[in-house]
Amino acid sequence: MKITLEALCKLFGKVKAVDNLNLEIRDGEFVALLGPSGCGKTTTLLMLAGIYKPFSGSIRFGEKVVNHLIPKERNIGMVFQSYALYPHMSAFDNISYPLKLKKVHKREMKKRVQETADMMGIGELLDRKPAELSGGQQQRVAVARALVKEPAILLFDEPLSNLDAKLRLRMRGEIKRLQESLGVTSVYVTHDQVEAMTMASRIAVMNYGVLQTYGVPNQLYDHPDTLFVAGFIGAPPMNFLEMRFEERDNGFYLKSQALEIRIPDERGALAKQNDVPQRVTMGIRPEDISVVAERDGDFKAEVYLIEPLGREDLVTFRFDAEEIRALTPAPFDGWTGETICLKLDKEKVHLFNPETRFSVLKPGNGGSS
Amino acid sequence: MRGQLAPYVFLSPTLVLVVLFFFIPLVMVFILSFTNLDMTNFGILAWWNPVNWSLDNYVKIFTNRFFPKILGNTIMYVVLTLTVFNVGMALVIALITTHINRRAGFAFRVLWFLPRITPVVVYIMMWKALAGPAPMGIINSILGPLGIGSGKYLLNTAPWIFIILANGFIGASFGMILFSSAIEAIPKDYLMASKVDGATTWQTIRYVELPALKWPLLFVTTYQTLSLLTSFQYIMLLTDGGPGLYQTEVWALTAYHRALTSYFGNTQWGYGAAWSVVLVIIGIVMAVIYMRVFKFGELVEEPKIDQL
Repeated sequence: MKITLEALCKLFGKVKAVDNLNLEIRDGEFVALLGPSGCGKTTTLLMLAGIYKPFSGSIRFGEKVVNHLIPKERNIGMVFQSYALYPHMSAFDNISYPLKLKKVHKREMKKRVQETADMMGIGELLDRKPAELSGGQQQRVAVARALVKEPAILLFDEPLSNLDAKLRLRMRGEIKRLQESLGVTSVYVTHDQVEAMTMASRIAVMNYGVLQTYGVPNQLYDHPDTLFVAGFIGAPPMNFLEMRFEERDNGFYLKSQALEIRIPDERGALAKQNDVPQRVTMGIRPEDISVVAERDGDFKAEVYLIEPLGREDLVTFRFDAEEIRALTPAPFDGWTGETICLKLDKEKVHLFNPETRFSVLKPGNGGSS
Repeated sequence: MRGQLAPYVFLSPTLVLVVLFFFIPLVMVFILSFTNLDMTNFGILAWWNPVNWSLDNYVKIFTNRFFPKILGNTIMYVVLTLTVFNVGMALVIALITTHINRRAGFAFRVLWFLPRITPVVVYIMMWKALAGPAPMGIINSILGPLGIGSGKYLLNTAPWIFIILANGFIGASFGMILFSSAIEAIPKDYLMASKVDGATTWQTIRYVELPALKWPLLFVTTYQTLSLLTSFQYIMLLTDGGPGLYQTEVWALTAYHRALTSYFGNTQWGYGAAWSVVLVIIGIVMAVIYMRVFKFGELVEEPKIDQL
C-alpha cells in the first residue's frame, strides 16, 4: 500500500508537533522516521495509525484519503516500544485479539495465530501471560499480533529500544528479513540512526516537526543536505569547523588560524555556484581524517583522548581551541599529549552555510532530493 | 538500641488507642453476646463469668418472628445499593469522566463527591424535603401538577427507593474515585494498541480496561459490602426502620435498636451484641467468597520466564 503525506500538520496547543510534512512511501517500502525525541516522528506515526487526527493536510493510503478513518478502518498493524501486550491475556489471546474483533471463525483464528506464532518462533509459548515471557519473547508476540490480521501497513514505534544490545541486533535483522519476505509497507520510528541506516530502504530525518531530508541511507551519510542531518547521522558524529572560504590562484581554499586546505576544484565550483558565504562550516567525518608523517600533513594537533573501540581507536585531538575526532586503525600509535600530523580527505569534505544550515555542495542549496 | 526503640515509641499512641477502643470492645461485645446483660441487671450480672454465658441470644435471633423480614431487607438493601450505585454507578461515572475532556471529567467527579462531604443530618434533611408530602415536598410539587402520584409522603409510600438513593449517592463516589484513578493508570499504549487492533471504544473498555479494574472492583465490592452491611445511620434518620413494623429495618439497625434504644423499657446489650456478632461473621464469609470468585490465587502464581 502506497502512503502519501501532503502538507501534514499537527498542533498540540500552540506547539507544532508536525509542520508541513510531505512524504511518499512506496508500496512495500521500509521507511524509517528518524530524529531526536520530540521531533514529531511518533506523532506522525500515530496519525498514520489513526490515533491522532491531523490538524491540516492529508494522509492517503493508495489513492484513498484516510484522514478521518478510525484505526479499525485502516487495516494497520502496530508494534509499540512498550510492546503494549495486554497483561491479563495469554500470548494466544493477545495475538488473536485483532482476529476476535474481526469476528474471524474460531478454527480459522486458531490456525492463523499458530502460523504467525510459529513464524515468529514463539509457537510453544502461546499459553503464557506476558509477565511470564522474556523481553525478546514479548517483542515477538507483539510483532505476531501486528502481523496476524495481515495488515496492509506495518507501523513500528521504537520497538527495539527496550531490548538489551545483543538481542536488539538480532531482532533488527529478524524484523528486516520479515519485512522483506512479507513485502508489507512499513514505517519505522526510531531515534537510533544505526537502526534506521541498517533496516530502512529510505530514511526521513525529522527535527522540530520539520522534515530535514528523505533519502536512501548511503546518500544521507555521504551527502547530507543539512547541518542537522550531517551531525545526527553517523557515530561517532561528524566534526564541524568554522572556516573561511577563499578563491585564489585558480583554486579553492578553506582557511582557519591553524590550517589551510585546498579543496577539489569541482567541489569549490559547486559551492561557489550555491553562493557559498565567506564564513562556512566545514564538516569532516572521523574516518576521513588520518594520521600521517609530518611532510604529508595538513595541520598539527595534540592528542587529547584515546578511546579504543577494538577494530579502531577513536582519538580526540585538540588544536587552537578546536577539537576534532578521528577514527584511526587500532592500535593508535601515540600517547596523550603528543603532537601529531593530521590529513583530511579533501574529497570527503562537506560544506554548510552556517546561516541557512544547508549544504552548499548540493544543487539548489539542498532541500530534499 | 535507642534507634530501634524510637519507631515503637511513635507507634504506641495509636496502638494504645486501637487496643483500648477497638480490641477490648470487640472482645467485650463477643462475650456480651453470650449473656443477657441489659438495663435491668446492669451492675448485678457477672457478665465476665462463664457461668452466665449461654447461646440463648443466638437462638432468639434465628427464631425471631421478624428474622426473615430483617434478613430479606438487609439482602435487598446491600445488593441493590451495591450493584446499582456503589459499583455500577461508580463504574459508569468513572468510565465516562475518564473518556471525556479531563477538566470536565474532574468537575463531574467533584459534583458526585458533594453528598459524601455533606453532614449526614443535613443530607438526610434534604432528602426529607424532597420526599415531603404535597404541597411542601419538592418531588410531589413537581409530580402533582402532572397528575402523577397521590401527593403523600414519599418516605411512607416508597421508602426503599429513597433509602437506596440516599445511600447510593454517597456510596458511588468511593468506587468512582478508585475506578477512575485505576483507569487513568492504564498505560495509554494499551488503549492505542487496542484501537489499532481494530477495537471500538466499547470493545476497548470491555476487553482491556475492565480487566485492568479487577483489583479495584474486588476491593470496592468487598469493602462496600461490609460497609453497607454495617451502615444504618442513613436508614435510621430517614425511616428508622419504618414506616410499618420492620418495613425497612436492616440487620445493623436491629442490632442498634436492640442494644441501644428501648422499645420495651429495657436496653438489651447482650441481645444486641449477638446480632452484631452474627453480622461480623456474615461479613467475613462474604469477604472469603469474594476472594474465591475473583480468583485471588491467580495473582500469586509462579512466573515461567526462562530463556532468550
